[in-house]
Amino acid sequence: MVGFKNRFMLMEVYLDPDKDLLGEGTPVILTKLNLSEAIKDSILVNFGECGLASCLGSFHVAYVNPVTKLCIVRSSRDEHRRVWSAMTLVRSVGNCPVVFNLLDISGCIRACRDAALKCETDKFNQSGKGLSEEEIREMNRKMRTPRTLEVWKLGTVNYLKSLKLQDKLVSERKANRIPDTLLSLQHPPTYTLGKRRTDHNLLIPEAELKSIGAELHYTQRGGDITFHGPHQAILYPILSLRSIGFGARSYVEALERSMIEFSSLYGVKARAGNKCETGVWVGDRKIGAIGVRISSGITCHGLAFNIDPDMKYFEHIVPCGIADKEVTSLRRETDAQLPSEEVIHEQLVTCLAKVFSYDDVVVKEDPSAILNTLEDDD
Amino acid sequence: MALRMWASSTANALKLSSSASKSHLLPAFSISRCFSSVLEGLKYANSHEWVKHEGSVATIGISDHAQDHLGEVVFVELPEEKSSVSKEKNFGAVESVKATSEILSPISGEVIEVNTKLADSPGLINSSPYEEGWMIKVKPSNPAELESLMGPKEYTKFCEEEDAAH
Repeated sequence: MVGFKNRFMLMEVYLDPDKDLLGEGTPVILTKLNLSEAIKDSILVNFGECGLASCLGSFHVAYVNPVTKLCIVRSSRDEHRRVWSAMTLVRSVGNCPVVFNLLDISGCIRACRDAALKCETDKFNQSGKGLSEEEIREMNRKMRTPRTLEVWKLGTVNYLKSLKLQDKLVSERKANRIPDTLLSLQHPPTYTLGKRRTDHNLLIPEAELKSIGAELHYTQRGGDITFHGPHQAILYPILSLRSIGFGARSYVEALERSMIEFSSLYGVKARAGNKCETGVWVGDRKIGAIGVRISSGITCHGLAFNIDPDMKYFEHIVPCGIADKEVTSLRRETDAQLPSEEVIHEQLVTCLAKVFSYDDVVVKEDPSAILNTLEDDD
Repeated sequence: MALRMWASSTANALKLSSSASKSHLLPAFSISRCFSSVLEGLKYANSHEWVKHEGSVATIGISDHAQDHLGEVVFVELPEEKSSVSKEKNFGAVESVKATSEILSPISGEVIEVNTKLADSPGLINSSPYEEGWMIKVKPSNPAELESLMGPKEYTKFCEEEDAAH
């Protein structure tokens, strides 16, 4: 469905290939860090800086078991052969000579995980030696827990209410009481400004806003002025940047990629903005906007994708502070029959989950559960 | 775009070409896998801010690793002079690529000077994170807090582990 393809390779690492050990007395402990470094060095040596740079985007050692010496390495589909050959050419990890052997390749981590489980079970059955309690605990700890994204579908939410909700969720996420969360919603007609308070980009007086049925809000997010309204899909990911391993820039780029992937479902060729024009564009027309706030490493605010909003509202602002470019929508860019908004929102959420490599997406359908709790705090 | 950035950082780290951006940094830096520089003589927080302690004044800014992960900074919000900052509490924010990120103070104290150049040239944080891109000067209220910060080698390892973990 969505075109962000990876390959997961299950590799076995033979340490000091002359010997054959399981568990004790191994010369080097395999960790994600030392394996990842050894493989990257090999790519650099064999394929140069350019080769390394092109592989690095999706390269990730997902799982390492130092007891059975199995590891799962992720790479993008386009680069996986390069990564595979580099791994075969790895001569040593730390000071220990090693040989990598590929056991399985698959397109999703679940299949790879199943293959790994099978290999490990076979190994233990063959070795004829039980694992001590200590070793079992060690192993269970090393198994990566699947990354889950919790999605709340909230329908149309008043902007101030959504701000309060996000504040609450950010502190919950910071305290690790909730997993990475995503809010999928729309707003009634609302203009919002970012931290720089660029209200010179609002072209009608504030007093007139009520007459056109819109509100204005000042926020702490990055970015310039923008409009939110019905038929515009909004996603507010509340994620811990540290747990997903992104910095601010790579996070914003991933949000752009999510919208680009989504556009391609309808045959719309979108692209990321040039320097200083963050967002998603079709030609010279902006279809998706981004404005993010990161507080103590937790993200809030997020992205807004125009499905079929009333474009007249955009005439009252200089959108995102860029004067000579138009705003467009999915409706305007494709002749394809658009499905219901519910389906469209789901597709957008799926694209984001894929780009951010979530294993599981759990959808919470009862918005009153979190929206009503806000009343209590008032 | 990202590809070129990585390729040129790699080239720079391996000294294979002379790209201008990092050439003016002081000689004492360590090459790390994260390809950003870590300066000797400074202390670092795990939220990527640095502190330079000289007598009764501590200068604070964000590290090369941080500015690299942020992207081009377009706006900086700093506290007023005479306001106080607390360890691990936010004292300001930087905006880059449509994302505002909070900056946490590595130590507690009173703000005695603020870098006013950043209002007009926020890009100084990217081009010179340890020199011209300093953010605030603070009179530390509790010098012992500096002990709990990381030294350059520890910080380099910390960055490497953060980058390699994903």
